Amino acid sequence: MPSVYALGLSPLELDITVEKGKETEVVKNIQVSNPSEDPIHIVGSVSGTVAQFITLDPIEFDLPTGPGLKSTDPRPYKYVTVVFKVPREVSETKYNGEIIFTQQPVAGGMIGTAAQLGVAVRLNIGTMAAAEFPIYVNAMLVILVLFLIISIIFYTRRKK
Amino acid sequence: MKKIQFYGIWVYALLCLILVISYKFYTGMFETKVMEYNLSLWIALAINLILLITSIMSIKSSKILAILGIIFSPLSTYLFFISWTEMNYQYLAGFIVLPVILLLLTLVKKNSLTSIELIEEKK
Repeated sequence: MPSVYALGLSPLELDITVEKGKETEVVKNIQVSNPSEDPIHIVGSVSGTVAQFITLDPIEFDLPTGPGLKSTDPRPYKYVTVVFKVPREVSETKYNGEIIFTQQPVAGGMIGTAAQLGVAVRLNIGTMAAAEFPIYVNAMLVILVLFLIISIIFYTRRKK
Repeated sequence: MKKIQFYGIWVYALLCLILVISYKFYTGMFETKVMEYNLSLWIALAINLILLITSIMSIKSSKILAILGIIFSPLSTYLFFISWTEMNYQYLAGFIVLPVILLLLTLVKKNSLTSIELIEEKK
């Protein structure tokens, strides 16, 4: 009988904070391991409001036979890349959800039913970002300020 | 040159400067959507309306500046809006160039007027 503990996940929580008003891409890795004595097939999915920003790579993969639940020997594992793509325009300040890994039956394996384990995800949209202008924009801003000052000086001198 | 034209261009240039500084330090504030468009469009439109109105009002005193003001007004709105939505600073540079050109022309115009007045006074 399979158990949810026949799947190893690390970390079990992802807490991400990104700046508001800035297109951001954050990449995290989740280690998925198989401690059970059967080969397993794993399918990843994302639930909750955070799902719109997340892509998983790979979504589906196989893990070979592990050393057993009680063994301290190294377990076969795979890293799943989690990419958070947050656009500039977001309406909320907090998005929550879960990255779920479902252990599915493998042909020839002993597992007969599916088991799930999830990684809790919290995405916080932080304070407003400051844009970093290229030097030519900053230079033009200085010119604009100078022209504003010169024109007002010129205008007042002419009045006198 | 009418006072209103000078002040119109000066206030427009000042507001453009404030808008660009807001863009730099409070980028996120333009995210707010009003009638399906970002606030970047509406603020730029409001500022450029000042230029458009003063340009139309002073069309008899200085035609070049007034016509340029009328042409620059929608162009400036577009440049700011597209710069923010596409996050492309080249458009922003274009947005800053417009008030610089208008201020430069205002200075040239004022300088030439002052010179004519001084010549007339000497006579």
